[in-house]
Amino acid sequence: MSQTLSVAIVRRTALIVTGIFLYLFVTSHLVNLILGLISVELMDAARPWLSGMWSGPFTRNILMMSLMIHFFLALYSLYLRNTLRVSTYDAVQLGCGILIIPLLAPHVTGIAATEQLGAPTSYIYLLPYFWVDSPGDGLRQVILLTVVWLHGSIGIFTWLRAQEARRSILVVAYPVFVGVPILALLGYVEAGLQVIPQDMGGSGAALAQVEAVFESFSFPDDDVIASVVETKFFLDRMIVWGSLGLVALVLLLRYRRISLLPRDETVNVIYSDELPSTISAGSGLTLLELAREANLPHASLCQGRGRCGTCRVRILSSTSNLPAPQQLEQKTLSRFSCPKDVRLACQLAPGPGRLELERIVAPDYSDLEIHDAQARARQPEAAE
Amino acid sequence: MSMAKGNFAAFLLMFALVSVPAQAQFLPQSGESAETPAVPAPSPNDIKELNRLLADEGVQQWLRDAAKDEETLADETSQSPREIIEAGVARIGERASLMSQAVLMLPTLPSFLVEEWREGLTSAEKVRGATLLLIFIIVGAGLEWLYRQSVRLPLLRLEQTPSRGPMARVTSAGQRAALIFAGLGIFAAGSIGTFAAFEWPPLVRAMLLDLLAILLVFRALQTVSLFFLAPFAPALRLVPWTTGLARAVHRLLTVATAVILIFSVVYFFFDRIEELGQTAGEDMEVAMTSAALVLGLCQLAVVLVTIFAAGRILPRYLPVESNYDPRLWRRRQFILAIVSILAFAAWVLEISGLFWGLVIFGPLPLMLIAVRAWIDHFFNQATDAIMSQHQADFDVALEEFRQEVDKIEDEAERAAMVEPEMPHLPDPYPVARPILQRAVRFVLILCAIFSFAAIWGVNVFDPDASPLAWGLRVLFDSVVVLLLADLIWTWARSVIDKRLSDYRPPEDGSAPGPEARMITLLPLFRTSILVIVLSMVALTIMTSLGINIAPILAGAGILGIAIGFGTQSLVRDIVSGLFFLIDDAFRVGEYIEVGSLMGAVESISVRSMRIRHHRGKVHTVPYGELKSVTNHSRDWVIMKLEFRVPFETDLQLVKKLVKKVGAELKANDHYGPSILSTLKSQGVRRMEEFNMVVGVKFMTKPGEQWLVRRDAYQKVRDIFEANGIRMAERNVKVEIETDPSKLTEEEKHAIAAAAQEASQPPAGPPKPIPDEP
Repeated sequence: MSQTLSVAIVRRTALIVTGIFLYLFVTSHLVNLILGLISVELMDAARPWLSGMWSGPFTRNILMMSLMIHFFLALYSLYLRNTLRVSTYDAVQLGCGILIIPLLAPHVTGIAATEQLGAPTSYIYLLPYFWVDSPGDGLRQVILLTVVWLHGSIGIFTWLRAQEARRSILVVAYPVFVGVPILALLGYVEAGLQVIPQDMGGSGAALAQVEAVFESFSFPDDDVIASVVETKFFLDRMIVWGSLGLVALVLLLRYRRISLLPRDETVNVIYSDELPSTISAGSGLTLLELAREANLPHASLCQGRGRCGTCRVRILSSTSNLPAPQQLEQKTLSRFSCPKDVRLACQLAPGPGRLELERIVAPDYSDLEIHDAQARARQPEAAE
Repeated sequence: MSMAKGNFAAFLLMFALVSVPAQAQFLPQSGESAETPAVPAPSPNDIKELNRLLADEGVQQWLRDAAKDEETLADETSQSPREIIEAGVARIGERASLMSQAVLMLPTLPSFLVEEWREGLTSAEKVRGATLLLIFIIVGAGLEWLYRQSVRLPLLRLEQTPSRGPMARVTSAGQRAALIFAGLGIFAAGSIGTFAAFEWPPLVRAMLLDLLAILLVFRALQTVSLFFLAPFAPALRLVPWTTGLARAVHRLLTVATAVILIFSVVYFFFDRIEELGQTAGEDMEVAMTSAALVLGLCQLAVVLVTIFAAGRILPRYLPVESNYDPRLWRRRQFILAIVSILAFAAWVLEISGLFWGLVIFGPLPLMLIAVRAWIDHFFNQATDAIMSQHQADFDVALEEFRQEVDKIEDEAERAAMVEPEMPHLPDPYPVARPILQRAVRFVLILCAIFSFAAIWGVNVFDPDASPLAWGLRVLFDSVVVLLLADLIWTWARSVIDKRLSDYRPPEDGSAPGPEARMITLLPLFRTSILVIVLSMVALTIMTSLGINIAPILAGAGILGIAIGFGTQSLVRDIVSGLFFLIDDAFRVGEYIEVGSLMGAVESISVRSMRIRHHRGKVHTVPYGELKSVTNHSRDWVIMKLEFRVPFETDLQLVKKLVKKVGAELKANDHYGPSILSTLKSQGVRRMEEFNMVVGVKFMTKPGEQWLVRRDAYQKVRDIFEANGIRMAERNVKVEIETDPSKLTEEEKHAIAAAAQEASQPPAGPPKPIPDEP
């Protein structure tokens, strides 16, 4: 096996690394919001440590770059997808991913505009804006938070679940996945209630501080504000339509790519294990995608990213052309020290013909631990 | 109005189960409800004053009188049908004019609503409401996700384990539904819990609760649909449908309920607008009627589209071999559509009784048919499973048999081996099937009546209610009693019929088993149960109608005594017959002796039994005439036989020979097993003038003795002859002292006469009575 890293592995690794980085950023941002459960003052006090540290010139650039890399790599993955009939997790992640940039743009440009105007970006200054002056924007923030968190959590969740060694982390991760956004949203609501006047249904507890902030700060001329706001909205439109346009373009290209694929030749896949079944479909899809289109149960913890190896199948007999495993597949297979006739269903796209195989891990994962233990036992021998 | 809301979720759930238009929530609103919020709350002083007044005895007396007056007044109005009709017509007329105004208002309705909506809530409040709703949903969904993660593997296992018969399937589907419903409960607890943790302005609170409730109802309906249809887990599907059909139905249901629930949400918003509305009175009422009309029309459209879409889409997925009858299908669709349209019309005209009647009872027959077919499907599946198991067992047995046959070398012997036939397997659920069907029908109809009564605000158990309530109560009681009686009767009949059909009459010659007695008693029981059930139904219905049944019972009692005296012997026959049966004195098929009559019991009725003599005569004997019954068919019979042998016979030899014959008899294939104690010699029973009487006896099962006796006689005679033992013959020795040749003719005649006389049988012991049929 050659030691040079294949493009697919690099892409996958880059996606997860940037993803984790962005997720950490979002998490610290949300932790800051959680403090709103106590008081707005505390939120602002902790801001330099939680949200603020990401807005330094250096970190900000890295963040932006990560976002761009993540976005474009994801677009490329979308382009490579053979079918859009994916699992629920993938579908939610994909949908949320498409929505993130349009929802995020006004927030980012808004913060930039606030800084440009010289106004503080503190919570005590911004919360009244979101809760009283422009509640529509406040709602958008909540949706953004939900969407971002869903997208990121699904990514991290599938990544953690994919490898047996990481699965133990999940115990810690579960409460984070659910607790952080809930507490953050509740903090956001609680902080909001403090800055909403009493006659509008809030408690108005922090109104005095709000007054103080507004008094301490003098707005620039109306002309300046108008131009800054205009630029912000222009940028918003650009980013929103630009990103959506990119997604549409990628989808179009993907459609064209798929329409060029030869799918008129049929492949017959025969599962002869505890759940015997037969698929007859056009070739060109991977085995996992075929199974999913035929609504056949198939184990796949990483949703077909070639990470987990739970989708591996043993080829019993085949008349169809089976492409040799790529490096990405080979890497996972060697982790389980699999013999030659074992392949990953999510990577193997059989050519036209007849294929008889059996799933190695039961679709309900009932024997997953046994297989993992066996793989562990074999590992030392393979290493020698 | 709040009551209607409270019922709403429960009803909606029920109606969606019945796939009934969810117009249900458009409970017609009376005019007052619009004005109710305008009345200011009483001040504390007013309440104090009211309490003081209420404590005053004079005031109390006056209140009582006034209430009495009002009651009589109300009675008078309710007693005049003309006035009732007039009032009804007037009400419908008012409603119609309101409707026409509402239709006229339609063009300006949107702007009116938008205006009210804008005035009612500030945009900040609205958006904050939406934000918070989203947060509650996230909280609920997050908790549910955690829960679903913990039950993910069991759920997967349930869904993917191949089905092992219908009962296991129901269990698995039930477990899955329980797991999913628990998740739904967690979602509800999470979202409504956080909701309740905050303080809310009443309006926002009501709106958010509406939305959360609708969401929960939608998800509950989804889960119910999942439970039955299992569109993604064929192993758990409870309906006999293909995956394509189940998915199509699931989708159709999802879309229809979603659309209808969205309309309900809109309607709720209108409702809230009406509550907080700035424009009071007439205008608001017209506007709300108008809005409700639009929504009602939309819902009607959705219902109709669903009905016809179902007719279009579903047949496509039906398997070819299904007995799909397009005409029947179309007729049912048509009926459902007509019912929906009529219900809509009734709702528009505010005839709530008709509306609810149509909504609840319209789809009921179809539902009953569907449920019946569904239960049948279940039992068929279960029966098929048992049958195929039976077939498999038989196949194994047959295979073994064939292998056995192949081992046999002799050609003739092999040809003699007949392949066994598959034993007949009776229907395994002759009782459970009708009972379950009756029970489910009972529950469904009961639910329908209950909800109908509840919607009308009638407490069916309230003894002093309006005539309407009274009528409903009578109806309710009657239906309940009839259904219960039907249930009991079906149960009794199917149990009894099963036992009757399971009974195998004893083969000729063998004694009937104890089951024979039940066969005589069961038809009696069946008839008595029918009579008792019918009379109890009649009495209960009469009671609920208000007829005092005590005189009837007393009269029946007196009549009973009179008839009893008149038909004393009849009563005696019946009662003594009952006791004979309880004593188990005879059973159908047994050979009995009653007084001078003998024969096999052929049939047993309430009053008499029929005995057939073995020569074909039939005796009918009333039980009252029976003093004692001799039963010849119980347990065992001893038969004694006698042989006369000359005095010189070797008795040891006789004993040996009889023993040998006994062994031969016992070894007989045919009756050997029925011989309880085989033939044996009892030695010389008595000495007679010319011979000895050797007694033998044997014991058999009742009915077998004749055949054994026949063979015993024959074999004993043969074996005696073979061993030189002669049977004794009556002979007279004449001793002639003179030379016989010298006898004269006269003397010879005298000797012959004397010998003749001596050989006549002696007038000694009587002959044994013939003891056989």
